[in-house]
Amino acid sequence: MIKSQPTLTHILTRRLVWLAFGAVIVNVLAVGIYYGTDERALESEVIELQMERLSESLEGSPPRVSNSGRALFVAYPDAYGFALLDREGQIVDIQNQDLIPRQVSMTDVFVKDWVTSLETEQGRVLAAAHRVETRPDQLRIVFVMADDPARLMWRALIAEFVSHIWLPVLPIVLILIGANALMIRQGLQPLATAADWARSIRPGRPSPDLPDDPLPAEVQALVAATQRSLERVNAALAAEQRHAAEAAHALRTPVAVLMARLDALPPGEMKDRLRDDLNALSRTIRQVLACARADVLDWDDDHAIDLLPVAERVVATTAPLAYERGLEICFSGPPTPVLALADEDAVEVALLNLVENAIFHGGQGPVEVSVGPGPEIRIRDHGPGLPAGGKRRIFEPFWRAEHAPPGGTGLGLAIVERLQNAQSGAIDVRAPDDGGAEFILRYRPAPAP
Amino acid sequence: MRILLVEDHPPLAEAVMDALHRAGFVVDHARSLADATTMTATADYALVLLDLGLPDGDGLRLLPKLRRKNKVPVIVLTARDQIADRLAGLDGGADDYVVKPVEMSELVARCRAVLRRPGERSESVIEIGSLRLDTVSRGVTANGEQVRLSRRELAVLELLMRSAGRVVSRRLLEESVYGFEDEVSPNALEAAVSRLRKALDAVDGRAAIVTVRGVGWMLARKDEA
Repeated sequence: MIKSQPTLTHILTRRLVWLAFGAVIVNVLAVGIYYGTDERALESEVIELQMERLSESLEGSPPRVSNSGRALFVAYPDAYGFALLDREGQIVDIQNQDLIPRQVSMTDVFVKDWVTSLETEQGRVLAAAHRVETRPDQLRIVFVMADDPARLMWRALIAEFVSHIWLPVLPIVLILIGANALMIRQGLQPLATAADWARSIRPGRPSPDLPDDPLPAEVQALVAATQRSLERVNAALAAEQRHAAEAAHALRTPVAVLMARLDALPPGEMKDRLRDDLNALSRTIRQVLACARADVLDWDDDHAIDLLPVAERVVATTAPLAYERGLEICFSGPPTPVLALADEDAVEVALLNLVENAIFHGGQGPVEVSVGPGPEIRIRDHGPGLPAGGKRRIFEPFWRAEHAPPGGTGLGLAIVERLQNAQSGAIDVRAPDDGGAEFILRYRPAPAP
Repeated sequence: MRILLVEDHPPLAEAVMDALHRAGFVVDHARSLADATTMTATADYALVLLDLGLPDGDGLRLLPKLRRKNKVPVIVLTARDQIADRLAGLDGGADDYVVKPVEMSELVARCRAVLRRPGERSESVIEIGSLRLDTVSRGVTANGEQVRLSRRELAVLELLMRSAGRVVSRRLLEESVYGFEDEVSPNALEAAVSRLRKALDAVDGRAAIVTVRGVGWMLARKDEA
């Protein structure tokens, strides 16, 4: 049993997901390294964010920063501070005045935005000013950061991630994965079609018709290569079977000569023995021929035959043999035809093998051949039954029971099985409670007309 | 009884000719279609034994000529055993189809059976074991002793004797023993066969009627069993 492998669609989609994941990681690293090595850039991000927040929380006239906007500065009086300056540089609103260097108000009024880093007695202080464009009063906001207990820098970094990675990259990644999965699925459809085609290949048969839709070049190449090797295998198979058939066929004439010459011998035990040997040889030849034909059964899938006349003919043909061996043979079947999708020659050869087996190994009791009611033929004998543990082995080529009478080839049941397989039929065997063996040839039922 | 054997394999032809000689036939031998055509045109044969794979063509091509000209019965003797081949042979006008290799006793029996068929060059007397049926006087003897049989029993016996050693189907017996007008009760044939069997047992004709249930009956020589 082959372990079932994931589908190609599955594999490709999974790789695509990994690829997208990798792309995100690279992006994160790139952004992290960029801001990690360039503190300036991060600081200006922090300033920009704070300016935005402060200008959004302006209210009243003269303008003031609302309580919610002020919360951060109230919470950390030693770290952050702000001031609002009017056009003349007068302070309109201020929070944590101690932090804000005096030089701030001295800065040129006409400088719109500036950022600076000052060394004070408290240490390094970051200071920035921004003129609020949206206001007619040219209000300027001054922001000062002496320390960063609220982790504004971190927040800015995270905000960077969000704005540079999650928002632009993730949707694109998701869309790409979805679209690719869909495209892979559709792109691999021709492969599935080709697989269906390959599944319909049967040994010894001409390659099945190709799907109607034109296949892509790569798949077409695979299919064409398969077709070519199939043709080569078929040719080799046909040649091998032809050789077997020719060999068996060629043997028939010398055996026929022997049989004719045997007639000249005076009656006696030796003649009878030779006759039995020749008959066994003749049966072997017939079986080898049947074997060669079994795999290349030339039969029409839709051809329905009536099993009754075939079975009746085989019983009539084998009745003299049964009589010679002191065995009764009988036949039964329903009065109406029993139709099956099968090949008449194949049914005949299979049944002939089973009936001859039953006559040779069937002990004293009658050999009963019955047809129906379904598309099946039963052959029941009253011999020693199946060998212990041999229920499966009896179908192996050249297998013979330990005490089987001489003359058999061990091919009969193997041939029957091959014939049945070639017709999508089956062969079953069971051991009835009252002894003997029953073989059942099953065929496909013919569809109702 | 002059028979033409058309067979291209020399040892087989020689061996079969020997066997047929021993069975009391006079046998001529043709190696090819051309030979066979000339020989059947010049001589009068009671039966042609025809091989199919001949050096100058398929033996089946000879069949229509033989049937058209002088209605010579033909037994096809071939190694081809497929049902389609058999049907082609029989539909082509062959009286019997025998697959090689075949036991000579069976071949001889089949030759006799074909020769006995009504409308052909029938022998008037058929003998199986010590059983003897005169088809003209309609008399049956066993070991020289007269056996009294009804018309139907006689008809059954004749058919069984004509194909002695082979199974005659119930359908064939019914068709030939009873006319279309006859009201055939389901067991009429069984009854006739049963009476016939009793009559034969009483005289020990060294022949037995074997029932093949579901198929028909067969006349078998007792010494063969």
